[in-house]
Amino acid sequence: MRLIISLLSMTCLALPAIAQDTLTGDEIVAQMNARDDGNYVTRGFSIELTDRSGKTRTEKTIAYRRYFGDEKRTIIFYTEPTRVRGTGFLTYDYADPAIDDDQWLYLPALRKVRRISASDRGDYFLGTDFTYEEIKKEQKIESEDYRFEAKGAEIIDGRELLIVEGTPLSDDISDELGLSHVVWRIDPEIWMSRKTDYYDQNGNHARTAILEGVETIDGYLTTTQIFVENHKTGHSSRITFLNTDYTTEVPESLFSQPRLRRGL
Amino acid sequence: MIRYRRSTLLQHLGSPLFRAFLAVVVLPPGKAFSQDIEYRGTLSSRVAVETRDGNMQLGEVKFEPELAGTLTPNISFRILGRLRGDTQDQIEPGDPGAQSAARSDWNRRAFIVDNLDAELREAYADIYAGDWFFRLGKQQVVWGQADGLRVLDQVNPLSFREFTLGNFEDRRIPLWMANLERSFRSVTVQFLWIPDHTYNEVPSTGTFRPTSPLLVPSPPTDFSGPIQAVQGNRPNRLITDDDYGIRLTGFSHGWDWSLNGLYSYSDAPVISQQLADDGTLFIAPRYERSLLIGGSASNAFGKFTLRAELGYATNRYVLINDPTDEDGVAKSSELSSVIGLDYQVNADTLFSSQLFLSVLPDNPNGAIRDQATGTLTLLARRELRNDTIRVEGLLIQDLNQGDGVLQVSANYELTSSVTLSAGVDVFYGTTNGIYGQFDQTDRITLGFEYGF
Repeated sequence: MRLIISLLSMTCLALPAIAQDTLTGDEIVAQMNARDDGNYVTRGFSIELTDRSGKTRTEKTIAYRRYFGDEKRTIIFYTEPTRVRGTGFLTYDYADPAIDDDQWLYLPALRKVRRISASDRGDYFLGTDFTYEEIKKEQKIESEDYRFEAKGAEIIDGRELLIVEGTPLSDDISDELGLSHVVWRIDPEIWMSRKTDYYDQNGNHARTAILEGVETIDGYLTTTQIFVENHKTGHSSRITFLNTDYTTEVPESLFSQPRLRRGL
Repeated sequence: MIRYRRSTLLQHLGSPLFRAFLAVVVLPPGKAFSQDIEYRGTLSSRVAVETRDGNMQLGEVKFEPELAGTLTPNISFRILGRLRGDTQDQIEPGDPGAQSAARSDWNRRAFIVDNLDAELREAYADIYAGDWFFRLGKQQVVWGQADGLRVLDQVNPLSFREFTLGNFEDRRIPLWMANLERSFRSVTVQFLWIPDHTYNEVPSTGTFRPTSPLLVPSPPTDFSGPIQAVQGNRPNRLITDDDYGIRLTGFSHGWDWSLNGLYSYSDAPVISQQLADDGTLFIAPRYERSLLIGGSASNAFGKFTLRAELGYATNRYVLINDPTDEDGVAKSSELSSVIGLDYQVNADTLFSSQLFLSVLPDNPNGAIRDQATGTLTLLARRELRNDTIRVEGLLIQDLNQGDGVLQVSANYELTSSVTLSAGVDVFYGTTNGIYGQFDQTDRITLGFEYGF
């Protein structure tokens, strides 16, 4: 399956610009979602949180992700600052979007793994300006959430980017995501959105996400830095991915409550 | 008044544990000093002022250094110390008191002066060996799904220095133990061997000295003779008096579950009375074996999370009000449970409720507590401004006595390293109640914490 996805990605990378202009919104999103992100990965996150006044806080984590068939499991351990060190977050993300994720949180102050309800996908992830959905999808898009429309191309920083607008397919989805529509500007060289604008349910411009760094690591196209600004609050978040490693196998046993409790 | 042996600094200066603690404390602050060993810690302070008369109840400064690292890919370690001073010395005034009775010889705080104590809080090694995991050393083990209400969370004893106030991590007394775990597919088995005979630490003097007749025996109303507290017998035999635990945990069909068994001495001593031939009433604490069996379960349903615990314990002792009774206590088993429901409004707002029930199936005659007792907790928590501000309100209500405590707090994360906090703790209800007994100790707290 992964070989097919890789071949599909390579085929699309080879498409001439003229052919890309004729792609529909659904086809462009399909290319984004076909990007192979490896069976497992280990990486560090450095999360820089800046408020309206310019005051910055930094948090660091180590994260592991592994596919179990179509199910994706992620475990994140906070390492900095000392106040949150040891906090852990485990997610089982099921392939069927109708099934809620299973999530657990380990808080060192309680010394206890707590089952937590799956947050609304549009809720902000642990104090950042990224939503749970964006963290989970890793630069991909849940195609069953939106009606996509290709809106031509735009030149940004010398790159021709394909514009796709997504509108939630139902009011329920709009409520869950907290969005009225999204505009992605997708680089066909990498099939990632370099600039994304999110609009709240009232149609106001809520946030802008900028892809600031992409590299090929161990043969996989990998986001190395991404920035998002919340236009309502003036708060912004920048995640820098460090020491990304697709080659060292992540053991299945890591994605368990005992490991969440024991820590790194 | 019960008198205990005083623990002095001299007793601890020569102990290897205290030397290990000092080694942690005197290390220069900084980050990793080798690739796999890190030195970090927190410096915090709290001030508490009583609302009744404006007196300062607590002026605490706490330094908690931590050394952690990896020795090999399969072996890591953690050492956590605590140096704590209190300018007011009202929580544990003068002689530190209870600890020598409650704590084993190798799990004691070293009192440098009356209001300054040092403690090796945790010191353990984590070892992965094939499918086995070992955590060996002084540690905390938490069982169950409930917050603050203990049905299955009975492995570590508690300090009641500030009664139920303060955070659980500080209140729980770490124990020296061997903790072994092995996973079989989705089921993990945990074995505990606890040779550390340390029990609940209850102050015999100070602000939070218990006085409720539900907790402290009262002499017969017509008794006018001398009362003498004596040192009770503490379990001290290796293996024979050690505690043992086993827990199975798993995740099946969306449910987290556990089955638990703990063969231990109850952390709360049985306070018995005995009238001597010369008319003296002796009061002595003793520790009794108990077998706790039970289980827990939790699951999430949309925005709701359900948590439940059930436990059955043998050999619980309750105080009785019967002048003809020989020792003033009666034995019963105890069936207890907690059911909790959390409602996560969104990522920033949580409402949580818990109902705790305890029943004495043997219904001992003359028991001072009711055969069935209940406690309700309600928690509301809201995080603001990208989680830099947390506001929380917690109500604990005793359903039998009608007393309780309301705790409201706010934390502000000033920088990545500095957190400021403020809070109010309000006890209410009858002075005979478990919470109402501290009705005169309501307080406002202010604090800060610096982490490095």
